[in-house]
Amino acid sequence: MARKFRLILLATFLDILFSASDICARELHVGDIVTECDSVAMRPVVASYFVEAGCSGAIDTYLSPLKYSGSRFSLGAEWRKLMNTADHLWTSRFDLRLSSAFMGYRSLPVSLYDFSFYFGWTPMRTFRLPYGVMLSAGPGVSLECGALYMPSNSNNPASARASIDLTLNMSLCKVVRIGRFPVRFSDTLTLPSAGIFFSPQYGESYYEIYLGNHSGLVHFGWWGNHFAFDNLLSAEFSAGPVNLRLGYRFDFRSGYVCALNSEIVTHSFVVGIVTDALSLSPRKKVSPASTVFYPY
Amino acid sequence: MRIASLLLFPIIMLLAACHKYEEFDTDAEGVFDALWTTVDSRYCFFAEKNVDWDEVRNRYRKKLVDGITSEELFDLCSCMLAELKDGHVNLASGFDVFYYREWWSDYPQDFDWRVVQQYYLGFDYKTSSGIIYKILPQNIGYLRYESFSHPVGEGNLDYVLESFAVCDALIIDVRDNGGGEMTNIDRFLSRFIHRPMLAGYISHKTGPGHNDFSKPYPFECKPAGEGRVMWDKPVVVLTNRACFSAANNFVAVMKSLPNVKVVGAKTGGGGGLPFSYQLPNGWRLRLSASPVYDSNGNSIENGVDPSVGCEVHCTAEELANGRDAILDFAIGLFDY
Repeated sequence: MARKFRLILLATFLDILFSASDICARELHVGDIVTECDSVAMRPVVASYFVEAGCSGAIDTYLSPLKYSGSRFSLGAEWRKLMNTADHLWTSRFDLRLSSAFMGYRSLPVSLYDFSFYFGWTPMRTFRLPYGVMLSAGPGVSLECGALYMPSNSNNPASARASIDLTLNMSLCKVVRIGRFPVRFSDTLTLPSAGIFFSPQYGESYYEIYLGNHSGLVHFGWWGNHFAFDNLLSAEFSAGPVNLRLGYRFDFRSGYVCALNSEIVTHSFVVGIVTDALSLSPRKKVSPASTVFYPY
Repeated sequence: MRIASLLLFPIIMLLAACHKYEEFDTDAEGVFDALWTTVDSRYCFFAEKNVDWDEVRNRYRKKLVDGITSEELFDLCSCMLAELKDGHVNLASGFDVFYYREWWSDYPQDFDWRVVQQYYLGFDYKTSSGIIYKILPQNIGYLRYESFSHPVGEGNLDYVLESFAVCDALIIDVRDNGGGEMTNIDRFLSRFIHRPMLAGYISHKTGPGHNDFSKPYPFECKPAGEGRVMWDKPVVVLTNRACFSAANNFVAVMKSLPNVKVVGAKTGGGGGLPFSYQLPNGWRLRLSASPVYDSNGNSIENGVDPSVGCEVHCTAEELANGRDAILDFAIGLFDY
């Protein structure tokens, strides 16, 4: 079952990354009503690549009783594509993010490092609301792993984290014209809701885990012991074949298990580009009978 | 839908605020409280040391006066930590490091490396990584390992044990070995066993309460891989009070082997795996966090006794005369 699920996920991901994308005569967006049968339907991938810079605050009582703060840098990508459904209302979104932070306690030198990797997959159903607001919502899965690392500690030098979660996702989007230029404002919320995650016991050393004591390391996660959410507020400005994306991300991760408290709060500024293969390949043949469905 | 969306955010914030953690100030009170609280919730030998930590707090908190200097605060905290009588409990600042030294300073040293080098090795010995070794005139291999922090590779052990192949016995001298990496213990032990053996038990705290402990977990030591040089002949491990931490664990496991005798003085203990924590003013606290037991389930925090009939001490006079009574006793065990 798990193997089958992995294969489906991989196939969808590869499909999104490498799907054929030819230019076409007619553009439709998710939620648009299709009144005629098109001979060729195109579903290009809309990719966004971005860098983030901001600040983080972190506490992990396995490592230290103190709350640290410092700077954070991330690289990320997001791929969106309209799914092949009859109503053209479902989009599929993949998120990938690598992040690192360098933190110290108040005015003390940097002594805590954070490294993390995030991957998420979200199918979302789009609803057309009044005033041109589009609401997308849907469940998803996410994988996060990383570690807080404090090199000056002895047998508790790191607090590793790994989790697989079912997520709830919601996105609000509206296009506003500023002068002649359309600007797409969106707010995207990801809320891990249930899953499993790794945590050592209160005073358990990684040496003991290395010796073979693996009991009690995996925990069922829910909002009460493993609460997190990620909110990205962004604006996309049209700039030729690519759009410029500016945004603000608020990311909150917390855990409370085995009497261990952990919390990482991040505020970051997002700068990126948004594009699709069609816009970047204008020499591709146009089929007048084609219809392109964009995932926004 | 929109009402639900509006409600979602406050609910989220409410949930996020559920688990509060204690925050400490950077002033003297904050540092003291962070230190006391961390020890209170993390230290693993309160029962063993018979320490009433609440009473200790009350006694020392009264001495925390306004305008206390950083050095005075350090001394106050050091005195409080000394109540635990634990060599693994340290407090490190930019100007000093507190160590509890009485675990060895109140006992005879029983060892002078200069004496061994001059009168037994003749300043003529080999060194392989962290191992010093030589074949003694009695055809006994002498191996000194000064610290378990010194890395030792499989190749180093192969070379040393191969060179001792002609010997009748082996003496491993870990006197004054203050510990180091636990993984180096496994590497050494793996040369003296032919099947996996119970090496001991390890436990950890499951919560901040003084008696919140997990069930001791048995851990094994495995023999070295095929092709490695093994040792099956008699072994004597030389100890003194300054054998601590990983060296203490090593002695405990070696003592459980049938062809091994432990000769010398009771080791210094240090049977708790130490964790470290930073305090609000940047000082670093280290404390015993995870107790380790021998293969019989006994605590080794207070040291490991020599084998029956093998407790030997070196007097200062003997050492001054170039005689190491512990080493002599060990050599005598093989004087057939």
